[in-house]
Amino acid sequence: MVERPVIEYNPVFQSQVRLAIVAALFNQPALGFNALKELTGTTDGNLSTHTQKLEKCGYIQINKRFAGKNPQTSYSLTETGRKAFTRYVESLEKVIKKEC
Amino acid sequence: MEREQALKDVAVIKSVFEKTNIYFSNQAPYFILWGSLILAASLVQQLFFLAEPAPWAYPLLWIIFVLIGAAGSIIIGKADKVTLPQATNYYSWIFGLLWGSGSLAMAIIVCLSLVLSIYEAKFIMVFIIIITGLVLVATGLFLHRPALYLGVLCFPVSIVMVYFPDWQPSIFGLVTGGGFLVIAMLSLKKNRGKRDGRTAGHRI
Repeated sequence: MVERPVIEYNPVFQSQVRLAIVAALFNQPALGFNALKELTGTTDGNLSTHTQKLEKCGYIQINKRFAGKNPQTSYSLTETGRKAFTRYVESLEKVIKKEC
Repeated sequence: MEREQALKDVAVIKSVFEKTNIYFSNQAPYFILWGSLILAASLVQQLFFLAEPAPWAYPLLWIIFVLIGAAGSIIIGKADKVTLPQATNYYSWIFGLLWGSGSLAMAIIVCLSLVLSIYEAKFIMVFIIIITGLVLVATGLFLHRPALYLGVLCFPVSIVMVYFPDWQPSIFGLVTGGGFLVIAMLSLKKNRGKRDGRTAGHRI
């Protein structure tokens, strides 16, 4: 019996917004709130909720600082997040290739 | 079912990667600025050259144009920060590093020519176009493919320039300045195409 490949279950990536956030940060050292919002095509509230969840999981790091009087938030991918994303993409590739 | 989910997720990832590329590859304003300046400076130098050769004025002419270009680049950079708040990215970092080091090399050549009074040497512009070619090749490899072709073109053109010293400014201006403008147009067209086409439809 041939073993069917399955997507490696990762509850964090069950949400496409979280998947998009990690994908956006994958090739960038850091992204600001507005840039991340535009790239993922989501709303302010939605983005905040999902980034907080990703931070709790240790996938991203949220950096807050002030530029003059304006608060600035930037996001970067942690090593854990990078490894989890790579593993997830590899499992997606396996599923697509095997079922072709 | 598994496959459908996998394809959906891959589409999301691909879409975000493409958007990120478009978002951070907008170097067209720099190419437009520098292309126009190089064309203008070359034209002025050529007119000077044909009317009354004044070799001492050429390095000064280029220094003025470079200062205008540097000021313009800073303004464009600041405008970018308004639209891309708090974003650091590899594209602008590589682009800045390449053109920063290339410009430094060119500035050293121009300054040396002034200090050592060798501004009449017909090889100054040849050196400049070779450096421009090297930086363009590197830019093409990392960022914009058309820049690679223009960079490669700079090397045979540098040989042509050696044999036509009287027309060096025009050749230099047309190839590099004109080339920069073509790269800018291609870049803008490509980005517009991507925005209107493949990536626009996918909202998460």
